[in-house]
Amino acid sequence: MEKRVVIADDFRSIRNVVRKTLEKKGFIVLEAEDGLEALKYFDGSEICLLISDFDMPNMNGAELAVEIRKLEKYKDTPIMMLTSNKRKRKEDEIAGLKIDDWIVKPFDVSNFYNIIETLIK
Amino acid sequence: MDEELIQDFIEDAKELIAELEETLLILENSRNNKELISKVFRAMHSLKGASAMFGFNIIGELTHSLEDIYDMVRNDKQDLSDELFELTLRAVDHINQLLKDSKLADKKNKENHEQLKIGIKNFLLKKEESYSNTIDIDDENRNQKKIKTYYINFEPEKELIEDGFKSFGLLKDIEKLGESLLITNINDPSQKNTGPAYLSSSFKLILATNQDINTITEQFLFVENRSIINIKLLSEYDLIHIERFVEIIRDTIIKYGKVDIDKILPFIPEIEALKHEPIQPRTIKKNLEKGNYESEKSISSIRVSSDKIDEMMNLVSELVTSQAELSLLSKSIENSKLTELAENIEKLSRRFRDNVFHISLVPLERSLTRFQRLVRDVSGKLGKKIILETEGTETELDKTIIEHIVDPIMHILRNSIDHGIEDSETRIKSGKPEQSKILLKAFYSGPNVIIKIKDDGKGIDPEKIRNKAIEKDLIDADANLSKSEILEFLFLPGFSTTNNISDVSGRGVGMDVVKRKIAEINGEVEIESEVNNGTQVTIKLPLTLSIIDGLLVKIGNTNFIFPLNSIVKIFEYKHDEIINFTNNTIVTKNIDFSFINLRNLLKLKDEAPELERIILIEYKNTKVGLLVDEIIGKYQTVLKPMGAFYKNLDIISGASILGDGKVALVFDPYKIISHVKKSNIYNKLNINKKEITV
Repeated sequence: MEKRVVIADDFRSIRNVVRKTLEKKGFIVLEAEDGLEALKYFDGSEICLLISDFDMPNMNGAELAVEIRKLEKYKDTPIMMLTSNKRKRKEDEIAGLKIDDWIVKPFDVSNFYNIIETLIK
Repeated sequence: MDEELIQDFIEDAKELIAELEETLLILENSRNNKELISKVFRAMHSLKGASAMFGFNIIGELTHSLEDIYDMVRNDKQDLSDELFELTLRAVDHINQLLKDSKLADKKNKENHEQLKIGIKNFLLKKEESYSNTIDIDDENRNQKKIKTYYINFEPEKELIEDGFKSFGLLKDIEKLGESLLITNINDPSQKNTGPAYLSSSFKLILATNQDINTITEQFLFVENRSIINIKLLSEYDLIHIERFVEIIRDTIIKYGKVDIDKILPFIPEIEALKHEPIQPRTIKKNLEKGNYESEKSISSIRVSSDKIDEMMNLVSELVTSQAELSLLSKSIENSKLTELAENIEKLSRRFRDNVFHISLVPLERSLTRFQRLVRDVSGKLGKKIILETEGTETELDKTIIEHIVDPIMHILRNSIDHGIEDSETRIKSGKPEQSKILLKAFYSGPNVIIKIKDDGKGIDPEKIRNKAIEKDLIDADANLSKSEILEFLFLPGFSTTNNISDVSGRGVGMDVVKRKIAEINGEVEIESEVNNGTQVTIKLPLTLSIIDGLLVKIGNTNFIFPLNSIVKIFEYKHDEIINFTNNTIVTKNIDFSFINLRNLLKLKDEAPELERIILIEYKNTKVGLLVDEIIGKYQTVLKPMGAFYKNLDIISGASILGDGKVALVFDPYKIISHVKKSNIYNKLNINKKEITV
């Protein structure tokens, strides 16, 4: 079965890094520039992981997570939030939301995949 | 990490920084714009997160502190002061350097970096001290945040338009206040002008902004006495992002041919009820312009590295050359099938060429930020109030040409600001507005693009230049020269009329460099100036450099090519008849023109044939005929630059390899004319000199 991952980040080169890392492992990576674009991928098709930046224009990571959790099919889809270190307080803001992991930018690409692997299982 | 990924990052970062700089420059003039502030914040934020990931930790550090500052600005805890702009722009420049030098290997960068760090630290320290005083104001600011929707109708009086008033700038200023929707209908019969020119008169606009009505009214300050201005609050909410609202406006335009606001008012309550169903802001404007409401296709553009485009250009050049060879071959073989095929390939390669050519075009506005920045920085340094207005910057040019003209334009702007525009005191004394204006205007003119840079400064006094020219022994004291001939001296190396050297533009030297740089891309530059009214520099550029449609001709045994777009007409004359014209002028069908005997000019020694052709070309409203032996035909050709030995041969713009392997020289017809004209002037001057010495 195809393993499809959505990456939402407004910075293209971050998306590139994620995409290239995951493509090497046989994933299909769907890119989105912001939350609104990412949400379009959640149309009922199989998605095994969402990796999303926290701060994005139009719809940020938290808003995106809220929307996705509303959808029955994606209630338990793992969500991995990318953030910069100073955003701790934002975590509290969405404490009620099920976010599976937080990764602080800058992150180490080589270690990145290990985290993802545990999430997908 | 993968080198390719890092390169990717550098490109993205550069783009983001360019965007950031542009945003900052707009924000500086509309400091309450929340959207722009959060854009700046987000740019800092993205840069911070990403740069550290790609090993640019030092950029990460710097953007981190800036992000903090703009986070405060965003939350109304910090004012956007001039000092902050200065600091941020300096940081932006520095970050650009850091992308090339991430380890601070360059000593200058290191120094800069330390200074910036101190600057930011001091800024934050000062901030803490003054913060306790600013809390009260914050609350007030917060009340202004709400976006309301206004209807604006603007109709200038006839006189105002006749005075040359263009509402384009005004419109731009208003659009900067928020999100806007231009609803002036170009088919409105009450407005005679069509096309982009309709912007020169009245407009109707829907504006969603968080600014109050006074701020909107202020924009009309200079025209309010001479125009009808109607500003109406449509709604306490932002309607522009509600699809239904846009729909209703479109329907009204379709139904009535224009937007009558009374027709829209009844719908407002209905629309307001929909206010929590926003649509994406960016698509609105486009949709209304095209009358097309289908959602935009998901991928509208891809990014390709410029190397790939250059490579494609090269391949097309090769293709065009091979195709020419094929055409020649098919002519000699005379096989109908082959001819058909050759013609087909010619058509296709021409279309392909045009296509590739368009891909490599870049709008001038890409460089606009650099110009705005220069005007801002230099005028600030000199304490002059100057705004740079632009028109037609969407005009597209070959990217190589753009790369070549940025520096000359920067130089011209610098000259204008430093030498052209007076200081505030002098301006007020001579009855001019304190703020001066530089207009940068670009437009197409036939096969060329014209860029005009015009200031309203003190102008150039031709007498001064004349005196200088006499002093430098370039002309005689009684030489009879026209004003434009005098201004031409400014382009001579080392010719300067300013005595004071400033650190902005030196002695104002460098117009010779400007001219040379522009000539390198087959462009021309001209200065017009009026004392007290200002100076205008006009740059004329070709659309492209490498491929031209030409006319292949022969003089003696040598092949030459003329660019087709320069040719007006071709005549046939008997050689005897031509040499009988005494004053080198031919009169035909009500136009007379002088002609140039290219055989003599090129010093070819063979005899002219009995029947000669005259190619009539037009230049600056003068028609000039050029004598050639034989016309071979139309020829699509790739212009190859000449080697260093021939660099000074300015009447030849390059060479081209013909299908049969022979070389043809490509004439620059305009240069031939100015060459001849110039040598005429100098001949006259020499004669004058002799008379005096005798």
